[in-house]
Amino acid sequence: MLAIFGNLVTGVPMTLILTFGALLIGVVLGVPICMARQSRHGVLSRLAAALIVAIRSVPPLVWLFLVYFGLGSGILRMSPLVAALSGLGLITAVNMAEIYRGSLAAIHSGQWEASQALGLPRWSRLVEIIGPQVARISLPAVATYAIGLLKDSAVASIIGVPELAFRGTYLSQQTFKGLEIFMAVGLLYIAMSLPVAWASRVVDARIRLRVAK
Amino acid sequence: MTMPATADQRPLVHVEGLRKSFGTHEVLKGIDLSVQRGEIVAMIGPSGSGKSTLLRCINQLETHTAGAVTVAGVTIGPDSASHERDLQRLRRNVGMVFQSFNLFPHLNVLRNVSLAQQRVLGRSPAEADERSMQLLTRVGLADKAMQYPSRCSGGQQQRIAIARALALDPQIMLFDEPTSALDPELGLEVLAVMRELAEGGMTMIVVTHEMHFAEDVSNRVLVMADGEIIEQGASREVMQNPQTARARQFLSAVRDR
Amino acid sequence: MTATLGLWLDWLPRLLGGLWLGCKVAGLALGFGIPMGLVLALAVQAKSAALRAATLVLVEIARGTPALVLLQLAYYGLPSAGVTLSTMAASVAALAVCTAAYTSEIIRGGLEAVAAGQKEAADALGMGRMDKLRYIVLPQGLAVALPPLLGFSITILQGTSLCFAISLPELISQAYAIGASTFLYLPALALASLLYAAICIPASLLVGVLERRLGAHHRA
Repeated sequence: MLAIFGNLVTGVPMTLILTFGALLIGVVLGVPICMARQSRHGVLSRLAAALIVAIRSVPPLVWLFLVYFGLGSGILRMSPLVAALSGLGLITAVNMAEIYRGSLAAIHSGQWEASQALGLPRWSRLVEIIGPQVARISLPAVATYAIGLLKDSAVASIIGVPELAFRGTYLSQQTFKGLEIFMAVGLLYIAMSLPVAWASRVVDARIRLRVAK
Repeated sequence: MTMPATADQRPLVHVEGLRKSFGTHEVLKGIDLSVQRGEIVAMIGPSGSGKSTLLRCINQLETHTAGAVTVAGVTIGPDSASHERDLQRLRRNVGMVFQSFNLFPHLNVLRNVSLAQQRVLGRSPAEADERSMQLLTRVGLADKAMQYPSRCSGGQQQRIAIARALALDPQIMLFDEPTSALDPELGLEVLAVMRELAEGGMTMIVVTHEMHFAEDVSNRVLVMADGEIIEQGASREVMQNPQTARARQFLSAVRDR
Repeated sequence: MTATLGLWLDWLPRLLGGLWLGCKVAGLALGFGIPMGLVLALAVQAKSAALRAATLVLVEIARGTPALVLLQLAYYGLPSAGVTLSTMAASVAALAVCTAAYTSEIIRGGLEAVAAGQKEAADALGMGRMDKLRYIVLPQGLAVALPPLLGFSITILQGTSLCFAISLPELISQAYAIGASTFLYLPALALASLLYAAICIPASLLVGVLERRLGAHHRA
């Protein structure tokens, strides 16, 4: 059993790269998408809304296939990792945009009014007053999403990214000890999610202390 | 001299040495209380005095940490080492009306009043509905039978709640600040129903801030403060001539508003 | 463009067959999983501390394991333990377990959302635990849980795409097969995406409408 864990653990770094890579892409890209969604220009706002709905209505695996086989077999050649990061990153971006939208709604309207009254320019208002608050409010939802993303990253194994689930599949084909192997894989995913859940609680508590209402 | 107590002379509610703590905070510090059949008892006192907690211990919506609660012959000991069945037997004799009414929003008014009759007393749907209509007529809301609680005013909802509790033919009715969540005018309709109940001979324990009710309708008033009964007696006596300083302090503060 | 449309028309029957299979798997998984989820949601509030702990551990393990791994366990893993499932049975079993775990949390949330006053009123009336659950807590709790449960159902439908990994001939599997034999991956996968979107987009909108309707009714 120990040998199995030893073998599987080699896939963990790649899983982490996928998860945090996609998260980073999503957290950053989510901002312009959210801004487009909130835009005063009806066309832009509706386009963004349509994009968000469309991307969330198609399974992650299908996006990965579309990028890797669809684009990758003709127009653009890319490695499985790049395809997986693109697909997962896009999905994450769209979900982040929705989270940001929810957080914006939760910000007291007084914040907007106060910063307007102070005569702060629009850009400064967004970056220095509203932005940090959106970030703070979004944190729990983002952490929850990150844990989900960690598990969803297993889908990348299907297009050949050598992460944890891939190692499990490969090992089971070699040794036929399917039961032990996949149970070990499951336990490793659970183990990986624990530090994230714990860290998120700690950060959340610390932020609450600083921002006592 | 001790006489063998007949069923009629035994108190309907008997609370002995009742203590209740929430964690390390002791909310009830040794309460002894007896309520005879037909009595109307009003419990008054400042917030946090333990009035509601005491009331809720009587029908065990709160469990107590020491002492005993006896209602109509069913005794419950501390920390609910009691069986589900004992609790249900006790509650069958006790009707409760809550500050926030707690009507079931997903059922219409008639069903609100009939449901427990069927499930707890085993009445047939026809019997239950008939009794429900009788009671709804009595509280003046027969025309609301098919409506949902959300379409009724607060005063109407509370009267329906009273009907719902009465439908089980309890021996005693507990009221936990029944008018505190209501506008004064709506509160009046509820107090009128309660007054009528009292005149009909129902045994009642009422936690209230309505000093007029306490003085005019109840026959005994209990003043509570800091988890203890600091004064009790005939309502007119206590309300007009409080003996203890604390009771005097509370009553004058209330009257001055 | 018209060439693509022509191809799409040719492929449509095959892809629709795959989609239908996916819907069947999702339907069965939900049909078994949601009742199990209800049982787990009730078990997690049980009086026995041992039962509560066991349920919690079970739910956390099933929730913490990726759906793909559950599928692999069911199909490739169980034979070592003497249980061999067909690809369809394994798909349904794994997704049902996944459903049970996730929906137990959703339902638990719904049950807890029922106001404490409701439960107290039922207690005060002398209603027993089963009656209280059946007439007061469940009707209100499940109504609250319904929109998220429907949302989750859409997720499970999308999750059937993962069954590709255990050779279920569902939608994406068919599209991939077409792509592999014709090298026209992009059109085939694009059509598959459109089919998923055609179901999931209206479904999501419906859930949104339902959410608003239910919210209005309970505004007491």
